Amino acid sequence: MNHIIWRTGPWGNSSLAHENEPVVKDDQTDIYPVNCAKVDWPNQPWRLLYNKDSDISLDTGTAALGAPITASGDIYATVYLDFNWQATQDFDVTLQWDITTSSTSGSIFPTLYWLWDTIEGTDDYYFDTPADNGTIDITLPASTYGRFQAYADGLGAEDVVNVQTEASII
Amino acid sequence: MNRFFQLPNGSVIPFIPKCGLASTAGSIFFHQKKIKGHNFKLTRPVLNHDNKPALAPIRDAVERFKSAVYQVNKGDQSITVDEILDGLEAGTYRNQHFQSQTDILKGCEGCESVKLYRFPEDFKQMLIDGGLDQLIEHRNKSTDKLELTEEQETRVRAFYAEDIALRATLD
Repeated sequence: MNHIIWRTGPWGNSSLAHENEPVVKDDQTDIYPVNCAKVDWPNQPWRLLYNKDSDISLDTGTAALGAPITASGDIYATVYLDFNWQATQDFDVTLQWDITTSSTSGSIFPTLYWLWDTIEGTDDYYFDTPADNGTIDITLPASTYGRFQAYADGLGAEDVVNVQTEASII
Repeated sequence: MNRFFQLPNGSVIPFIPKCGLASTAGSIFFHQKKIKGHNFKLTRPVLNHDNKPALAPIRDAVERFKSAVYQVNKGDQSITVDEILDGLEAGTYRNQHFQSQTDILKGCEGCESVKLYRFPEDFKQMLIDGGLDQLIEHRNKSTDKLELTEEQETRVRAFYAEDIALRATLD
């Protein structure tokens, strides 16, 4: 059964549902793009807030569905992906990750984590130490306000001196 | 280089694969949600323990090895027990799931204290001692029980001799 829900956003969180898009995209503001399931609003494209964090740099911004975000570091590189959603029906997204190093020896220790929760009180999470690359499908429920957060993290082991972590929501 | 979960009571848990990582992350998530102060970034293990007290789960080395073999063969990955053992003994196969627990614990040097818990027997108590709620459910649990040959188990016991000795101090 479909439901009618009032639109929130364009940015916000569960407490501040109607925030304007911030000039400076920074996860410290704790507000995120509010999307319509997996499609564009009539006047707002689907977006997420990314945070590229490593031992040598930090960068935030917005990205479209399917756009790969890559963080680079000497020791570690983490990509955070955050968005909120409203949806009248359940929908699926895919989290993609690919962690690499240019070091000829050593290995990468990947970590993957996603979670979502809704204003209706439902939630789910996933934490794993996965293979260096892959995809995972996630079903997000119909909700008047949901929050999705994920990160892919690559940590270089021993003599690794270069790590790239790429992640995207497809 | 090691990672640490930060716990609400100011202690840390070293990042030891195949010793309840998914359940620990879940417990931190539900704790933060309960106190309505959720900060997802705090669930990411950090590289420094900041001299805080450490709580560390220690698992039977053979059982942990079996679980690690299952882990690295999930999806389209495929590597045999003998290939893993050959690589570990030769130092050519490096994977976080097979890093010895005693090696990981060296990263706790400088911690105010290090308290060891048997995994899985005392895992819930470890979470409680860290200020978290008891485990709601066990995530990422191996569903296929690997059987090692006698020769393979002997090799595992030899490779993880220090882990076996450490665990014996807790039993």
